[in-house]
Amino acid sequence: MGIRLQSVSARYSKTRIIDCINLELNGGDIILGPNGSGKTTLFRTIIGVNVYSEGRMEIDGVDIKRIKSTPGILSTNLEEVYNLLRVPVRDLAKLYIELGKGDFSRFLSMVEEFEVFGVLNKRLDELSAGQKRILCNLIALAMDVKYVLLDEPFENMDPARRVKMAKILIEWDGGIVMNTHATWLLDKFSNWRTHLMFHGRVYGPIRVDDLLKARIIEGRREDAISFTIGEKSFSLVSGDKGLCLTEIDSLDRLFEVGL
Amino acid sequence: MSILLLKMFLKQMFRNPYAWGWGFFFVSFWLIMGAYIFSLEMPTDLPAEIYFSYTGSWFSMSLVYSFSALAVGIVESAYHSSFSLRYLTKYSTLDSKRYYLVSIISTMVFFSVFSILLGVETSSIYSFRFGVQLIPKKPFELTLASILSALFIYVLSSSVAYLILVLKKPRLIVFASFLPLVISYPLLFFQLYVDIGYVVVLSPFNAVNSLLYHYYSGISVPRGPIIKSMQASAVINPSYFWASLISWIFSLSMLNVILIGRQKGISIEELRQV
Repeated sequence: MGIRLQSVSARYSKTRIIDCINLELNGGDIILGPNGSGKTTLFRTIIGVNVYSEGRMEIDGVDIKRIKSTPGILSTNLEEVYNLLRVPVRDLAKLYIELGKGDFSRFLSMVEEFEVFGVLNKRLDELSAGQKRILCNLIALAMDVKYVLLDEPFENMDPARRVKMAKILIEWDGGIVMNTHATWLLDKFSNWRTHLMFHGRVYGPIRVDDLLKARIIEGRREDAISFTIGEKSFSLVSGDKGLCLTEIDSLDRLFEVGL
Repeated sequence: MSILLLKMFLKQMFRNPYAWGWGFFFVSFWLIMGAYIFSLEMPTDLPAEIYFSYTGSWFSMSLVYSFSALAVGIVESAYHSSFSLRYLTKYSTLDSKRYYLVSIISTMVFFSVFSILLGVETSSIYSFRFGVQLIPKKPFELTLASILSALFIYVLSSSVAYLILVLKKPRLIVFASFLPLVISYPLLFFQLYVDIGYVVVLSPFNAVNSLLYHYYSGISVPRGPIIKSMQASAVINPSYFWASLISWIFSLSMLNVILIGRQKGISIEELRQV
């Protein structure tokens, strides 16, 4: 049944970040949007923390607000989730994985694969941004859950580890929902669905291979997915006129195009 | 699972250098000052009771300050872990009651170790200084009072942290974490030198101080400044202090349960504002 959001808005105190979105995520989904578009807030809203939200949100038909002490549903790599205690990463991972009924030996084998064994005795706040991202990804992936929400899973990673991480996610036997602003990786996930996100609004879904064939042109078209950046409207169309997503490394470039 | 969580909590606490620095070594420094500097003009041939009163007042105040210093860590830890707690209580086997219980137990174990260390240190240093054996008069009651004091500091600190989370005022956290220390400092000094009337019973910090003083020295707490306890005509029954302390613990625990349910955690962006 998936993660379903109906007319969901979310805000931090007075600032509205997510604006009345409808979304269905079943795994194999990419939320694609530039920095500041509301992708992380969307994940926080789904998890049910730190955000004031309105609208209906369900995971497999269960209202998210009603979910309590239930492992096996969802895990995430959001860094603030791993702040419970200031202990070495090995202990922290063990605790989270045991509480979440995950597989600690799977975590350790992935740690070896990513060659980050040496940092397990350090605390999370002592690690570099890249190491932190890898370990949060690995803890989330070591849980036996139906949905794994990965917030910018390739951010701050070196190219070799990015490729390794992408490979794991492509081959993953479970529901992965990730958000990113990077477009370089899209062709690796050709059979996934993308949901474009700009200024707290979600557009789509559109299959990655269709998105890769599409072009971005200025202006609003009735027969295409249209979105607004700043004061300009853009549409995703087929054909050979306009900007191809693979030509830009990150969706942040669209703001420059918008200028 | 709770054992693992308990072990992790204790590991975090015992490896916190700030707790040792402010909660033990800084307080120890003042205990030594009390034994060797502030007592310079004290004759060495006074009745043992006077030395017990002097030692008891130093021990009780030191322990309250030590606990209040440790409370800074509790407030900050409760605040920083709020987002994680919210997540774990939804998507893992952890529930807030179990977390709260494990957190309380670990705090009490940690505080008890500090109480024992400071108790042994106080009785050794002051006995050596005055040449009288100054070990606590009622160790069982003293232990019980220390445990309840730890419990009170825990519930107070977590209430403060969760209140800030519910009110969404992250900038207040630094000030709020020092609140127990800021409040206890003047209150305890007032009790030592001035008659503060019913505040001695109503203020939880003074109730704690009074119980620790009473059970260490074996001398009743006077209706007036502790410094004049040897000449006091009226004393306060310790059961009033117990009642006050237990009422505070109960009320703050209730407040905590409500606040934990209402808080939504704090994001990385908000943590960076601190």
